Amino acid sequence: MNKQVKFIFYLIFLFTPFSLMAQTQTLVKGTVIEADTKQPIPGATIMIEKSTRGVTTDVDGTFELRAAPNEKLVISFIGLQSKTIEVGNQTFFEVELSPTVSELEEVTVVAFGKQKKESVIASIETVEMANLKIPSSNLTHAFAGKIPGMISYQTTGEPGADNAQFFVRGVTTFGYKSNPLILIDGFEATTDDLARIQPDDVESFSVLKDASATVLYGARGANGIILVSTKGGNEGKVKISARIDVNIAKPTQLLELLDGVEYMNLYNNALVSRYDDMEHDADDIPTPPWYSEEKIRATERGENGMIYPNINWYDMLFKNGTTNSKANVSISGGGKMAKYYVSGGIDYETGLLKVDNQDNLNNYNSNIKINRFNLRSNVSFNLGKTTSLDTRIYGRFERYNGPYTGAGDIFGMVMDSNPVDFPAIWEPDERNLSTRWTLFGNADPMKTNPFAEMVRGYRENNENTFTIQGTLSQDLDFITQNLKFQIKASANTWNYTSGARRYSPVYYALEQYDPFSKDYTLYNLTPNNVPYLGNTEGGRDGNTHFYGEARINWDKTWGKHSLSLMTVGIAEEKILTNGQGGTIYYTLPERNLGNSGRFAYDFDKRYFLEYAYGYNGSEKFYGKNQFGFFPSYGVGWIVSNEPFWNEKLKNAVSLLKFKFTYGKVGNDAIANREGRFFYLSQIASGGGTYQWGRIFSQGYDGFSFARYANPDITWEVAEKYNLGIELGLFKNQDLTIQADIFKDIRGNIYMRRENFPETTGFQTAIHGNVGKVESKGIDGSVDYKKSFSKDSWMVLRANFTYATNKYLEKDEKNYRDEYLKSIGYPINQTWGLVAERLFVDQQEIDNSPRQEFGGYMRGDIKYTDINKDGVVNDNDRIPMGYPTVPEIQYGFGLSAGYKMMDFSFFFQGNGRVSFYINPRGIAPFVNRRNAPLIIARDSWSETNPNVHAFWPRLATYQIDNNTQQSSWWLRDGSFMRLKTLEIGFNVPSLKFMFMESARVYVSGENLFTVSAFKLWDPEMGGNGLSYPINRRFNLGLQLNF
Amino acid sequence: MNIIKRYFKKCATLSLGFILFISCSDFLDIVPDNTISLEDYFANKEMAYNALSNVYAGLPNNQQIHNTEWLLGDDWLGQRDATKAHSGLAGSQIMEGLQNTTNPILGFWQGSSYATDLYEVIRSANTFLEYIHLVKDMSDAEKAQWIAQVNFLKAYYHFILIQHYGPITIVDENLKPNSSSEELFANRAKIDDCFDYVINLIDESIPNLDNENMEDQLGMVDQAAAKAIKARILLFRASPFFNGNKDLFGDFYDHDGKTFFPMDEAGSPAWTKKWDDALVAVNEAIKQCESDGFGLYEYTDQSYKFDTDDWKANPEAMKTMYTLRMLIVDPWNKECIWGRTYSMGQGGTIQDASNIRLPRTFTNGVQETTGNSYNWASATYQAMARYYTKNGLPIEADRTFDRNNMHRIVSTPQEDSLDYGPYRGILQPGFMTISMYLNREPRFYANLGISGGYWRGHQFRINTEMYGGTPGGYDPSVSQTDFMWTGIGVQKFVHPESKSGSWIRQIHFPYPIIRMADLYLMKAEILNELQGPNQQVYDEINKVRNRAGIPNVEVVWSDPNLCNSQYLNRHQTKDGLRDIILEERSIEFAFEGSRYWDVVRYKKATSEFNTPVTGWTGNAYGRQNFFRLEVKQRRQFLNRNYLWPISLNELNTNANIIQNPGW
Repeated sequence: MNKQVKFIFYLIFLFTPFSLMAQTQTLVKGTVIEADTKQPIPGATIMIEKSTRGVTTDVDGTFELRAAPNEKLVISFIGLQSKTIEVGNQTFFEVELSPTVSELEEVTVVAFGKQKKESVIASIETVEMANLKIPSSNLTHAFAGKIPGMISYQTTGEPGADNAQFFVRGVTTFGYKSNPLILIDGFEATTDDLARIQPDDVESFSVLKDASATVLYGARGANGIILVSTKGGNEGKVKISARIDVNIAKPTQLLELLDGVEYMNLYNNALVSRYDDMEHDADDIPTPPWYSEEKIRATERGENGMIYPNINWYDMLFKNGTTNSKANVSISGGGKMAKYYVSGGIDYETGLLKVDNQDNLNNYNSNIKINRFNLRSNVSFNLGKTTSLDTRIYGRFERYNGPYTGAGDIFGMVMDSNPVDFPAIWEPDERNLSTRWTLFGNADPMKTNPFAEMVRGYRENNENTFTIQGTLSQDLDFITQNLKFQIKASANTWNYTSGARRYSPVYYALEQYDPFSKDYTLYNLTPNNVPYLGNTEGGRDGNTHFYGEARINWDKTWGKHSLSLMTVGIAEEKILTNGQGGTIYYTLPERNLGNSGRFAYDFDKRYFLEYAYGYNGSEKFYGKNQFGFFPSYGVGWIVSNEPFWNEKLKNAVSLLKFKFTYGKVGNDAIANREGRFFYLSQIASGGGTYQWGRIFSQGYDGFSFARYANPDITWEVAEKYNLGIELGLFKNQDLTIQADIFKDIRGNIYMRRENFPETTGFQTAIHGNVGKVESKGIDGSVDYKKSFSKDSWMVLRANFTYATNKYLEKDEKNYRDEYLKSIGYPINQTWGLVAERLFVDQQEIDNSPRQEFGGYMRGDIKYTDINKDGVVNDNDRIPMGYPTVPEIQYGFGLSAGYKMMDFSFFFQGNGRVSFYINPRGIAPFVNRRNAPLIIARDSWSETNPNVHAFWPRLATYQIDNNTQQSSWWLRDGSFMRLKTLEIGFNVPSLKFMFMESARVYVSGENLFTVSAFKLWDPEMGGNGLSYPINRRFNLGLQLNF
Repeated sequence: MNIIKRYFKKCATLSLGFILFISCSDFLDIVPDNTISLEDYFANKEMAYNALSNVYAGLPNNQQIHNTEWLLGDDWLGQRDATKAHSGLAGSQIMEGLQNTTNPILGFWQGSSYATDLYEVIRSANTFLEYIHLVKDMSDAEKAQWIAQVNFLKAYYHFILIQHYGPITIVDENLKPNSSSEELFANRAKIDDCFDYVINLIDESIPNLDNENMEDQLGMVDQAAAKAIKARILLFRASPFFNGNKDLFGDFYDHDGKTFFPMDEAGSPAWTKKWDDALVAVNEAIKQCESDGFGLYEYTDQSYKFDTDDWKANPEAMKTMYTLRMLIVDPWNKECIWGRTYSMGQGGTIQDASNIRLPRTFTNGVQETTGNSYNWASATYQAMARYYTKNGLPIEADRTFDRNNMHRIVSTPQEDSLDYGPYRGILQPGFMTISMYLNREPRFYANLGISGGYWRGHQFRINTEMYGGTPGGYDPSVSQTDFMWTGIGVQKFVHPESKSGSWIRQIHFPYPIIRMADLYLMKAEILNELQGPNQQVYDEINKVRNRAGIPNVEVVWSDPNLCNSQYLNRHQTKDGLRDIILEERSIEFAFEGSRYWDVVRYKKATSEFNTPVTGWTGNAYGRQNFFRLEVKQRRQFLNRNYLWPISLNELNTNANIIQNPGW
């Protein structure tokens, strides 16, 4: 990013008028070398100050030019600090240029430009990419706990579908879209684009949090913005950098289930568990045991695994771990005319499915396998002294191969099967010796055979996305100094095709078994099934996205004043398709148009003022609502730049800065694609069918409303307040602390209005901009850097985000019971019944309020009748627990190095978060499914009438009374985990292999977790039966040529 | 360089314009082409039919086995019980005591659980009334006639709501999303105001309705239908449930401290006025209907081929049997004043659910599928027992009927015996069956499917046995759960020519909303309430009895040779005659959903509907095991069940709504 600043300086010199030509000129010579390496620098620029005369150094770093003694030489090179030297009487100069130290920190990427860090008063968090590098090939996995102001969590580890959720400053709206806008090189990108970006390609990664930072993107900025810019080339020799990583991914934790014997015993118990308390006819007898004593005994003895299977489906279906790898290489460099950065990357991800060679009919492998190629080519051309063209091309090509049945579902099927009903595959009996296809196991009545589901077919997806960008920049110094003009055009196309093939497995059940000869015969349960792959079931989709912007920047500094102005016009169009068809509303383009501007002024680097606005239009609104105007205001004060801040103070507190911003930011993403034409009513044929006539032949379909027109629907608007402090302690700001307190009042939230009684007869819900949410919190970070000696250093960093919110206004029902109203509660607050304990006896049931959730008996959950109306129903739910999105997220870690070794670790944690176990998901024995171990250990029964048992009275079907969302299933979702650990070894220079440096490292991800919840990974929340989150062990190698 | 610069200047100028464009291009005005608007539905008559059908579509789907209200009461027993499934057969669910406030079953107020959403349809009616003036190619008279239909339906839907909920919210005009909260959160209106609103609207609509419907308009509301329904509504209003119900709703107060229900004593002028109004209305309705050609149905055609011989041998009984058998299923016959139609090919009708499967003996051994003959909607023992004996008396009142031995297994008369004469074509000869299946009135044999009887369906006459493995019985090879759970079939709604499964051919007939017999029995009931027993009352009842082939009411109840002494001359007291009329109704309209409302009207549901319904074993194979009486389904009817609960959701939304008592 600094190169553009340099470029500007360079241009300033170019346009400096020829004014001082009077002095006698002499020939001066010199060499320019790099301060660190003492290597000569070819291509460095030597200019005479305030003139247009200049030369560049040769290959050996030497130069010569004519200059007068009173003139000054300005020596500069991209990436190095410029030097100005008065010529005087010297004729030979040896100029050492040192690298621009931590220039990243001095300049901050802001919306439509860059600002010097110290003059930034908006709340912008710039993250060093090094901190976001993790073994996983999904960048979103790295967010949690690493970025102050960001709340992030991941609920599944399924490759290809494992993007983490992330929110800037928490969830600030309950509207349609609450996740941030993602801009890669100023162009809106998808979460996948962000997730798949190669960290090595990223030059800067920042998160824009407050109004000042986001208002310029007024159509989408309200939820915060993630701004990523990719690297460009630097003038200089060719640099090649390569990295290879190999990691092994294993589930962090799996739910423990019963083995066959215990399952059968408990299933038989569950069958009769409820008999005694049921209404039944006199001649009804308790259901006989499903599993015979003989089968249980034989299974226990481990007899014939075909007849008495005892399958651990987790082992049967999944590997212990799987290997993933990724590699990328980049080439960069440049000369006078052009600079380039070209990179390519490959990800290879695999799933945990154990499918290799287990199906003798088909050759395919249905395990998840993802091959992903990334290509990035950023090339900029100098078209003239004042004109440059920057081109960026990015392509991602992804090929997914996976099972026909989703991998997450297959994990779920483990729980849905049981270990004993049938083997996954029969060994052929006499009759089937010559059967060509696999004899999949099953029983009568049939159950799901998860193994068959896993291997019964495959799915291939191809997803390609391609982005091109051109930016033409022109300095307009000929009009006035520092006036710049830029136009930018971006286009992206995304397409997706998928094909799936499957066959119908042929299932066999046991017909006869002779325990003496051990012979068995099978019979075909599904004689009509054809076990050959069918035709391809295809799917396709594609979108195109265009974006254009024209922008003018002007900066001026005079005396102690400096002023910066910017205005930009944008037009954007997303052309949508839906390969599967669908409503016209889904495929009409999305369009935005806007003009934004910024005015920034500072006096003496002490007092700062900033005003910015966005004037944005969206196709979603009508009439005067089509455009929204969103202004922001900011002030800043660097106390440490005041004259009274003397040296002594500076040694203790080197930076003290206060900043405050306030503004309004809009959001037009308030409904899904189909639902966005709020001002049009939508009427569909059908829904009112009637017919008359002798043979009912005069039939009409009638019509019905899918939407009532509402031309008043308008923008969701966030009012954002931010008060920040930046503090640098000790001389060189060794310890920096920054913290922001924020408040965000999101108004006009588009929501379904709950307040229309049925008597109005509306056929569809009425929506309106009637919601309002206040979010507030604090985020901050502490960084401490210390070098102990030349060889050893240490960096400590910690950050913390607390974001909470509450409904201020919401069109909700006119509940008579105050506790049902959500005003004042967080968006993701949950309401649940208060479970007291399990019912002790029938007498207690008779004397308790009626519970309206289906039948119940002793050993079922007793709820509190909160409103004391004599019945427990949905109106007895009270707010309980914390929100389902964490309110607190924090992280802390340390990096240290000693000579060639480096070491780092990072802990991440969530706090103030709750979730409900999904009881229907783990309800044991329903349709003869297995049961979690904990249920076998701790459930209510006649012999264990524990009214606080983990699980209520057993049954072989769902007991609706017990599966209500209630405090019984509420769990604390907070945890802390060792997110990453890395040990590296640097080899500084391998000249003989043409290498500048090399680094070998081992790292780990999600290594251990501390949590009160033990059944599965607490980050997965209520659904612990889907594809688990991964723990990774990684080996990596990085080479620089 | 210069070129670039010049180019750039141009560009800059253009782009500056672009930056400051904002003047509002139509870039953002994306409107989908060619999508339909509400006005388009009122562009011409053909389109406007859709708006009309929107309103008709609110008629309760009583033809659908899962949605029908005819399952309320104790006539029907469906497969729900066989599978213990917790869905479907909404009416049965209510009778089992499963009604609830979270998701009310058959909740017409909000369209929950198998009910049509009547307030939604009332909205459609109001929309129709607001927009119909736009139609270009209709004359004013034609519009007035449509408007009258819609107004009538709007009133009728309000009545259905009153029937279920008691006091309701009247919606005369559509509310808008921006209506004030006072309008939105309306109160429930008092019962009398509700009825007044409905009656006024019907009165307003009647003059503009047609006198007679053309072929392609059958099913539309005409004057006869409107007047008949008006009579029914006024009868409801006059009945004890709505006419001064102090014992049930004496403490059911509105916000203003007044009761929702009128508290008039029986015999008071206000109470009597309601009966008078009902009498006027029923007289008008009968007059209109009779002059329009409606009357009690009689079968006039010849018999089906399979009955030719029996028709010749036993013409009188067979003709009566055909009359009663075809009464409902003969489409648009003169008995049907108004009926519920449905889409061609619609499955899941009562006809589909009650039809037995064609036995393999009729299909050359091919197994019949369950499509359109589910073979599981059966009659309860209670419904079967309610039918009169051949003397037109209830079993318990008929001294010639051996009540003590009626569960013995006996043989029907042998074919060559003299006794068989009257049973020819009605019962199979020499068939061992239960004694109570003999000596019953013609409606018994015409309506039911019994062991030893005949089932006229699939264009055949099937000798039904109903035992496992026999025609009409349990056949696990087709379905383990689909069988007549009581072992008693109902053929009242099966058209003899409807075929199912692979041979599918469905005869569609309108399911009656109101039919002629109802008007006569309504008149008898009203007269009895106003005047007590007299010949005029008997005459009205006898119209129906004569058609059913049973003797006059005043004859049998006064004959000491026929009638048990404890019941003798029951018809001569007002209370006794009322019971007789209600009993007659429960038989004449058996399985048509009438009995439930009759019981409710007289506030007897808690005593009538709290005992379990029973039936034969249903799936047993031999007659010995088959004819064991079993409890089939529990019944629970508490006082709160008289009025449907208003959903929790609605109560939470509209704080002005007062919940019905007990919920």
